[in-house]
Amino acid sequence: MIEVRGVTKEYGEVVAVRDVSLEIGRGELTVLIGPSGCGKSTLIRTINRMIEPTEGTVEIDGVDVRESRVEELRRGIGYVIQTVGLFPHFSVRENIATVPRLLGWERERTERRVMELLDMMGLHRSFADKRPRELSGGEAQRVGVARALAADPPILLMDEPFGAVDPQNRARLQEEFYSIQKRLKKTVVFVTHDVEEAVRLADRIALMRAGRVVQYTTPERFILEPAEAFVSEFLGIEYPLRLLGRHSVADCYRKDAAPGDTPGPGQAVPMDTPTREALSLLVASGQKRLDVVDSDGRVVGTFDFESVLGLLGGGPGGEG
Amino acid sequence: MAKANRVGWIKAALLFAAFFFVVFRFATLESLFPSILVRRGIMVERVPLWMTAWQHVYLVVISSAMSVAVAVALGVITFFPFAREFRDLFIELSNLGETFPSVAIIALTVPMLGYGFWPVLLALFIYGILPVLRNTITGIENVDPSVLDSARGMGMGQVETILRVALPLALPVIVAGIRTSVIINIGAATIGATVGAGGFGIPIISGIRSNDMALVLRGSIPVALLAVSADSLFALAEDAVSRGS
Ligand SMILES: Nc1ncnc2c1ncn2[C@@H]1O[C@H](COP(=O)(O)OP(=O)(O)OP(=O)(O)O)[C@@H](O)[C@H]1O
Ligand SMILES: [Mg+2]
Repeated sequence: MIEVRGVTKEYGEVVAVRDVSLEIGRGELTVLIGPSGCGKSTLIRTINRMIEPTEGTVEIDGVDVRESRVEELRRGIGYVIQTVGLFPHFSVRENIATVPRLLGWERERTERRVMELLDMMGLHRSFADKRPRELSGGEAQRVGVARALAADPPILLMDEPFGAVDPQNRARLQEEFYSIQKRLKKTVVFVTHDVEEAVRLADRIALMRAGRVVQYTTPERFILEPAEAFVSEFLGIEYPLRLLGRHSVADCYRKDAAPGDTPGPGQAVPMDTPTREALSLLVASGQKRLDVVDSDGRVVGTFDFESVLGLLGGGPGGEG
Repeated sequence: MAKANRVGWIKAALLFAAFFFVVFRFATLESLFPSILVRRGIMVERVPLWMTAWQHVYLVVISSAMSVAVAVALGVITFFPFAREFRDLFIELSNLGETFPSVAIIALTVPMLGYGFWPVLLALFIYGILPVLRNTITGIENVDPSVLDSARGMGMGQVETILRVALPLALPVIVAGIRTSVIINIGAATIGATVGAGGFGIPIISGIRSNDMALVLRGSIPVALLAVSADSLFALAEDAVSRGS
């Protein structure tokens, strides 16, 4: 667990971060979001001591980060920097192996790990011998993430890790990372200024503005209890719809079907349809409800506007 | 890129071939251009031209090797906190060195070390440090800050960050500095003859004294060829190191 306590960072007159306190739970993915210059990078960098706060402390599992040697601390925390920052004179293999080498791993162990990570990040193994300048933007970002994961650190700091790629690739990277994270269960602090990305990945979101954390809670709660007008303004009018993308019909349909029911004349939706799509289908159908079918085509219940409301109200679906 | 490089290699090889030809077969050249190159003077060469060449190259190689080692080391230490304040001093000295003629340095080293090889070696060594020192500092300063940031973020120590990341990435700029340094010193070493260090300055200076153009050319043609061949070799080196990073 990461505990940020009353952290302030001043640069002369500029206050980059102002009295921020956050508790980041083990195995959770916390997104720091906010407009450019609100202090996201500054805050995330106090965790691995790339920046020393002017005031306040950061603790990891109850130990002040200032207690360990700074290099040791950083080797134990995966870090994806905002600008990727691969070493241009190292091969992809050497880039990924940076921390294992610093930790003095044996050659074979490092090599095995590099291959494992290339596989995990969906990069062909032949990439190991490439130089960073031979990579596309998306590939470079994948290598950046692989490098951060190399020594299997329990904590991962990711500063706009998918910032430099086009929207399509970005969505793919997010999906892939989401499934990796589901498996690895790292404690992740993830910076972005893209609401869509935050919604797709976050267990919790800390919304920042001008150095402060305006609100820190689950994605759903931002709809029900926005702390101030800025919250809804920043998240945008389509935020509730975006949030539906986190869930599938299975999370929210009403189980009101009798065994043996067959789909009615209207359209039916499979259970694994994302709620956002299902809502779109519902609107397009011009009806008030749709039958929900399982993978065998059997009707299992109903999807209607109330299902959607239940989801956003923290109802049947709860947290994704 | 690879093609341009092949041209570079051929160019360097031809220039060096020309240099060696001139040094070992100057007589052939004399018979080709008797009116220009055959000496009028009665002075008899005590040293063969290859010996003169050897003295010259020896002086430049030894002084440059020492300059590079010292300059890179000095440049690197300015990136450690204990020596940070030397950074501006070094840059200023390097800029000053450009306006300061190398003759003046020899004039300073002779009173210290007397005539001969050593004062010239010392002068070339000092003079050769400056461009390499400046380029080491600016080269490292111009390394992409995000790369250094990620080195720090991965948990590399300061020494490691400089030696394994900053220095290799600054190498093209450093090699450019070495190139300048060596070329300047090939020329400057000629002056060494005035204080008895040997080299291509010997025929040049005796030629000037005895107003013998052919004798002057006997020194100036090979020294010019040496400079351009060395330059073409460094062009290849620069090319190689910038492709490595
Ligand atoms: N080294 C520094 N010196 C002075 N001011 C700084 C420094 N670093 C950051 N700042 C200022 O602190 C504020 C927060 O910067 P920070 O980089 O944390 O923002 P950010 O939220 O990460 O922005 P972005 O989304 O653009 O990356 C900005 O106003 C910035 O100008
Ligand atoms: Mg930032």
